[in-house]
Amino acid sequence: MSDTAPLTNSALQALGKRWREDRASAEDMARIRSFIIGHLDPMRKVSDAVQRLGFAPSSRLKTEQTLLMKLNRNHARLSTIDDIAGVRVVLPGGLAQQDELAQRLVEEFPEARVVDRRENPSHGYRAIHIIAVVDNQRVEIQLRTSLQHQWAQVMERLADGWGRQIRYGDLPDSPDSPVEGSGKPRSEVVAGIIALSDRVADYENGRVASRNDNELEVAATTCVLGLRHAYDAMKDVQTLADREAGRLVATTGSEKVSQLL
Amino acid sequence: MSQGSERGGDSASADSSGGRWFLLAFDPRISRLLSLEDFEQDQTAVEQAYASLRGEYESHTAVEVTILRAESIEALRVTHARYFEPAQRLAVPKRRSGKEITL
Repeated sequence: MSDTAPLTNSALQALGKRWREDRASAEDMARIRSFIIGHLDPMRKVSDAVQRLGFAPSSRLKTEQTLLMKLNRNHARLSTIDDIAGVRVVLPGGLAQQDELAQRLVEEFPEARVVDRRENPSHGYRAIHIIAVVDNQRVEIQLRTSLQHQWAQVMERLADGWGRQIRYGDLPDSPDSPVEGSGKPRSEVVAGIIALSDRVADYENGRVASRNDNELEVAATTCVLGLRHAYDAMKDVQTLADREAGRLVATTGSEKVSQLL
Repeated sequence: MSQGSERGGDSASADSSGGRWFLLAFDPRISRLLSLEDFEQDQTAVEQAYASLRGEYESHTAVEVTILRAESIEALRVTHARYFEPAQRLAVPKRRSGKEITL
């Protein structure tokens, strides 16, 4: 698949436009998949470079669904999307370790573009992204502290259940629907979790007043779950998913969800 | 490991680094991992399997099929927990030591 000749930017743009407008042929989809797969080599090289620096990266290709969502949302072009290949590093050492690795990666990839979302988060999302270019392909390196990562994973799973648009500042599906446990409407819970990101940042930047390590520890854990609602929201999302899975099984009589599709 | 070339690098059939290739299918509507396959260091095999698996779910547009790479599945459970952990587990607070706090 990765042996297909690379498409020109204008061909990619046209391909993305047809896909976005639901006019992609089977041949178009094969080209799109080849284009995605063509990022594997650069992704591997970037991942190996991060590993040589002493860190443990995980990497992934962007799914077709999220790629199409991105094209639809921003009228983006296939040729300009940075994160078709993504390399992620979760750093237990906090902001200092995040800064250190970012600096070393900029030295490793001098042409890279750095996007620091820590002081200007994207709807609560905080991280450092380094867009490296390898073999003419962009690879996005995501550097997250442990707390930033935990927040992002909560938000991502919430988006699975309540609509991916919440990651871009839009209201959740059924925004007035109460969340079991807290009784608060989804819209308020989402706003609270986005605000929680600021509390995480305050803690990580030492802006939380504390007298001892115990208070810091409490502050840290409170940051990730500063609102009980975050946990209730996760339960709500899981209940929705379990109900849908149960409905599928009941409808088809199959015992295994994986056999239903 | 292969060196880069102008066209996009050699696709290593088996790379010698610590990364393992994984292919997974995930349905976000039901938060279920439908399949997960470990290809060890075989990049060529995972590429071929990706095409095949993507074709299997062609008519199920919500099912996500993707390739990941990490030292181990355990590493993926940390960095990409969405695919592996029940939702509530993602929001469990931890002490700085990593020990979980019971709600």
